[in-house]
Amino acid sequence: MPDKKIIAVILTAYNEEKNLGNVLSEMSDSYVVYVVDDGSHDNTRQLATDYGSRVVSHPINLGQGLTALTGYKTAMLEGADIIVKMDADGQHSPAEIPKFIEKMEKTNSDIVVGSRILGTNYASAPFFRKTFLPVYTWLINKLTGYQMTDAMSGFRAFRASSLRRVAKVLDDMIEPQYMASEMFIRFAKAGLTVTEVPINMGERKTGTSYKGFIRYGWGVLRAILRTFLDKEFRNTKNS
Amino acid sequence: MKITIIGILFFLAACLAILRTVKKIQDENIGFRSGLIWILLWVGIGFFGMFPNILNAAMQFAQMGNRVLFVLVLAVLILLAIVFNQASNMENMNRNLKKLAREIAILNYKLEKKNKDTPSQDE
Repeated sequence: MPDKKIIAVILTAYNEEKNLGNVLSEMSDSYVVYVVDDGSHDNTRQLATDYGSRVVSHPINLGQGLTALTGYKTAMLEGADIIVKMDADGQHSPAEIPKFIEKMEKTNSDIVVGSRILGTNYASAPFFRKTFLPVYTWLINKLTGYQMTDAMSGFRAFRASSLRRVAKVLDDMIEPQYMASEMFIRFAKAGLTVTEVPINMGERKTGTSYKGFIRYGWGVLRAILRTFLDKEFRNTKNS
Repeated sequence: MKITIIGILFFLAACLAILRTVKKIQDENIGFRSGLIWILLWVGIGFFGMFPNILNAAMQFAQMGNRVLFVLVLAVLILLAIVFNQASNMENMNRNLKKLAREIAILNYKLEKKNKDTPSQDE
């Protein structure tokens, strides 16, 4: 009988005490759940501990990108085989995680991205998302050669062995706050493969998102530019 | 070359600033390299404050008719260079700080886990 794979689920959380409980209560016991608390001022950390999650806490607020990177690093150190990253605000459903694992196994890909555009409820997405998401994704596809429909999705699964191969890349990220664009450009150069699964994006149960679309767009462009200006990136050979 | 009272004041102020900078280097409040840049800057200010006529040649070279304007432009350029240098240093420090914060988070996590896994002496 083959060994059971260790599936680590990374939840990045900043002041999410009102949403986190719902997400954690839906989580299957077969996953190792890491809540990476990004310097929250509320009860996020305690709540995550009460649910039996493994909690890694940033002493100060560092932003979602670095929070995810801390989660990946911890899960890799603890021997995870597959690392799933999702948001703790209730917009991503733990019930969709098996789709990622199945797709990864079936296609043998390094990364599986949850595509909101392929999901059944995308028609009801906010105007700004529907307008800018295809533009950002088109740009990333052009730069990487990937054929994604949603490059900005925060719901992703990684084969841990592939992440370990690019661990230095993850540590050297210049704009981790807008990591999707930089990450895919660097991963494409490292020769990692990407596939997608459809996901349905829920609404935030409570609280507000900390991202504005224009600011996000500017961040994405800045990340792309800075990645290509990075000497180390330019000196790395394509795999 | 005539030395004015203002010139002497400039010179004294520059000397004080140089002494202060040397003290800061000794106390390791600023690095040797940036301390040296500041000392050169104060030397320049003291020297040209005492002998402003020497600036005339530089003014002619830069095609500026007014000595005050020339000094102001020079000062702005030097300040911009300092601000640029400081901004890049701060960016670097910010990056290192974030890296450190993440390392601390992971180390704390490992420590807490180890403490949890190790049964206490009382039990």
